[in-house]
Amino acid sequence: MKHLTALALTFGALALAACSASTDDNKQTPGGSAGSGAGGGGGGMPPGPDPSTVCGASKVGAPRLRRLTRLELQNTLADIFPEVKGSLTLSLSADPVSTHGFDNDSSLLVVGNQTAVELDNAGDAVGAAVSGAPLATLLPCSTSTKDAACAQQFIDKYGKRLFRRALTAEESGRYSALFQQVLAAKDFPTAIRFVTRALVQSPHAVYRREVGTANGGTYTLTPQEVATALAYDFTGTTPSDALMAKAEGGQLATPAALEAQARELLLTDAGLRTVERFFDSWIGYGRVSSVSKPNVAEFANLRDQMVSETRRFVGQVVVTQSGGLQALLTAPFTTPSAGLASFYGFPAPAADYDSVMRPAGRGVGVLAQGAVLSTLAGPSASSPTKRGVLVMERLLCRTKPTVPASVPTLSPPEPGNFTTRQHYESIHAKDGACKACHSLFDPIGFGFEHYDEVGRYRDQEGGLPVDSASYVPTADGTGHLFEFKNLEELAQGLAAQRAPYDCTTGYLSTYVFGAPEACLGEGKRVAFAEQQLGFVDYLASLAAEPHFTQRRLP
Amino acid sequence: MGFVAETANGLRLRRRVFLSALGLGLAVPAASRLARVALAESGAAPKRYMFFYMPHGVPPEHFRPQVAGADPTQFALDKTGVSILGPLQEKLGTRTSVIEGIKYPKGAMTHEAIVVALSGVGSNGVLPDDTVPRTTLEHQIAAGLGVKPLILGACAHRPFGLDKDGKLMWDGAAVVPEKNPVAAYDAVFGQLGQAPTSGPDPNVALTDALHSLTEAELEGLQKELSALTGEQTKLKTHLDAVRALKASGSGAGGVKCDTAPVLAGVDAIRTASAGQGDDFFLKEENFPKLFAAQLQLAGAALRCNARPVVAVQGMYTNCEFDFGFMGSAGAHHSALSHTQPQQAQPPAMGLDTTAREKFAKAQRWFIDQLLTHTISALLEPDPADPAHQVIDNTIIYITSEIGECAYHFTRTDKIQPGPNAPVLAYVPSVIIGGGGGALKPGRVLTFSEDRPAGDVYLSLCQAMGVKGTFPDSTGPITEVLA
Repeated sequence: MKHLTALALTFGALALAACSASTDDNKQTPGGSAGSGAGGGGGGMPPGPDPSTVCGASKVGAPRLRRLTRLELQNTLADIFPEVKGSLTLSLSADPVSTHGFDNDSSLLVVGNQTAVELDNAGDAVGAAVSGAPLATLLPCSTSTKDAACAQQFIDKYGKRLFRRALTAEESGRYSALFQQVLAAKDFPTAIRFVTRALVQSPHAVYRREVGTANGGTYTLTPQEVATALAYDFTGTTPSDALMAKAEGGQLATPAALEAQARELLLTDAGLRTVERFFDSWIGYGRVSSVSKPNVAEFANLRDQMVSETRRFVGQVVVTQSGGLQALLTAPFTTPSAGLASFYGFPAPAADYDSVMRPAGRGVGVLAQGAVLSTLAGPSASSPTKRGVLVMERLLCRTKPTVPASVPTLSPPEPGNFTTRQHYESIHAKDGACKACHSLFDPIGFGFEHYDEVGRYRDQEGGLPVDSASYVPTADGTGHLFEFKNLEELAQGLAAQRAPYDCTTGYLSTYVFGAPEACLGEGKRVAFAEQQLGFVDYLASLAAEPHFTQRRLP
Repeated sequence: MGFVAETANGLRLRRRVFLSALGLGLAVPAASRLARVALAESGAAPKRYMFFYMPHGVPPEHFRPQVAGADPTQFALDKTGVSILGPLQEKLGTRTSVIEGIKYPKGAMTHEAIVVALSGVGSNGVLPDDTVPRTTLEHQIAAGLGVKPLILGACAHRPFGLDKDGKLMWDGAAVVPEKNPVAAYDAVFGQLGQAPTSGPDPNVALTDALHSLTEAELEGLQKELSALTGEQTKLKTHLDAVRALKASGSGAGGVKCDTAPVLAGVDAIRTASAGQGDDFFLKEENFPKLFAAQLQLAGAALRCNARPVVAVQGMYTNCEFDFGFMGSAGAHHSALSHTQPQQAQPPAMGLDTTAREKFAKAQRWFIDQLLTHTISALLEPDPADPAHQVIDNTIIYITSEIGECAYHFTRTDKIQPGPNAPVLAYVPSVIIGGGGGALKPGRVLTFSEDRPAGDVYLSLCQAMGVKGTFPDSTGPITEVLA
């Protein structure tokens, strides 16, 4: 029995290597795995560049084809074909998520077999819709002259919208030939349906092209590529005719013009949704919608309201008040629904999601949001580990160490005998294997302990006093970066450090540029860190970066 | 007992099966039925294949079959009262085989092995690589049969997208299972019994011309951007996918039902999800009903041969859904599966047996669901081969990305549950069904040295009559092949 000998050794080794207990609900590896993704899934710091790396001078990145995300494709089709927007049902699968938590990483967005089928189906769905009754509106000539010339109008108009540039003569000819072939076998609407289906799944429609043309030592993006980048990066959809005309007319030829245009786009409704999407991906507050808390019956009715609360809070801080990271971390208000205010024990807002000041000692900023606290908790208990990991990864850009293969769960909690913190400390802090890792993030998470698994404040847990005094360890875990008594001091302490600003700007540029390349957004990092710029300003400044209009030669 | 009056070979086998069933404590009628259906022989009926994923391993003490003596066909599936495979005992005992002693490729560690488990593609480094294109077992079988697989998943990835913890099935790129059983049902059965009124034009030549246009565009882009080596892989993947799309048919394997089946679970979801967005399919409280509906659809799709290849991924590996709904309260991954020594006080007192029993019940629930919603439909006469049941022409394969649930073994290893003697923990590998006569009847195979998982996959491909390619395989496991 070869197994037995070898296995006995393995078992012993594992037993020694493993933590005696862990609350880590997800595994983590250097290559990125579960456990991060805003402290709750999917991510972990990637093996690529550390987002917090500050380079000083901006660089120019690689040329890319960026496949549209599911959301971008949906927005694009809705914008190009508003006449059929309400009747379209597109079945598009979830996009792959990067280790940063973003679903727009161009290196992961490929068209494999499944996506090819879905694009084909999406194209056919659009084709079926536009070739029906709306065709008379979309293509007025179709009511009278159902011929090739009429079809050419359709190809020229919608080809340009979908390709975000005019079709070449060769391309136009191909689509005309397809139209003719289908027309010969079927009828005019069916031929338009086929043409639409082909246009929608064309690589020229599916990929945002950021390649440009060779210009000395770099590639310079075309005006159409620049307009496309502006539109998708800052509004998540295709460029409008007006934006395209501006680019083609040379009105976006300077960094200042690009930055101004980006700011203008960010402040549109679509822009605000793009900003919201960054924060949701970065912090992960929207995930609360899919979790349950078996011991809190009313939670099921409140969790979606928590998402709305945080969304409104972020909008207030970032857009209305033009705030930066300090404001996000330390804002003294929140924006609950009336039901949530009652749930939290806060003053009622004048209307749902209006601002209310938090009572003293009841948290500040985004880290005290119910959606964040509930997401980063267990079903029935708070989780100092998850909450600590959020801060460690998303605000400090530190890598969570590899978790050994054998990580047990905590023994069952003993309400009344131990608080959650005591429970964690009794296991994580005294065991060598566990302590090595958990000492890097559990102490941060203890700062949240006044908030239970659904974000409600508590002075006591099971009749025992809650202790949230703790510290943020240094990166190597050997010292204290700073100490705090509660979540307010933790947030304020973070806001006073430089690292969270450098980390945040790294995430912002990664999100906008859709690739984990270092040093692409250096121009205004210092200004952001010194609180001269808010989030929207920094995001807009990325349009003025060299990478926005240039690419390095391969 | 007319079933014994068969050929000599059949007589021997049937008697053994019959005695085996009796030995398992079944009543004579049940044993008789088992023995009769166990020997369904191959006809010209289409073969079906289903993959069923067991998330995050098992507690082996509640999983391993109990083999009586040296005869691998004499075994019981339920020995602890909560044994995970127990529900299969009565209805499928002799049509269930368990393989003990498989391993995943190099680089497969912890539950991260989910990204390599079904492909045999390992990693040259320390961790599984989720960037290398690969094709997993169910897609290889579908490709070999020339059909489109039905890939379903109730909680197959996190709400915000597909990350490494959900990348179980691959068709070149990682595949996102369909969450919505209503959409899947409509895609599979929507046209059944109706004259085509919508959907892609059936004129193959026109569709082919359309895809040729896309293909030409991609080829043009490849040439134009030939200097961009980083993007060439992306374009090649896309081009391969379009070519596969051109080559694919409807996906159906020759539907054998005249009318669309009525599936109560799917209808219930259709009603409940009406007017709601995608969020409905991501909410934790909807998980049991979605899973049930998906399994009902899987059963119907297989029975009707509307989709001869089906896969169901109930959850991503470390999903934290609370299983209180079925009686094992606690998050599936962190609270239930990670059942380790609580204090690790020397000497080790073994694993927490109470917690492990809760997890066993949770994993048994998955098997219960499979049996109730899918296999029950396969115990009906095969519409394509009425002399046999569908299950006789079907192979269901069950596995997990790890073996033991707490230690995350990706090969055979040993654990100590409670104060009892250590037991070996194997990566779960269960084969159900007759495969149209391509499989030997139920048995327990235990390898003293681990075989690559790819060997099992190769065997299943052979049983399905297709050619499979798995980098880690050394050859088929002949002991399971008829």
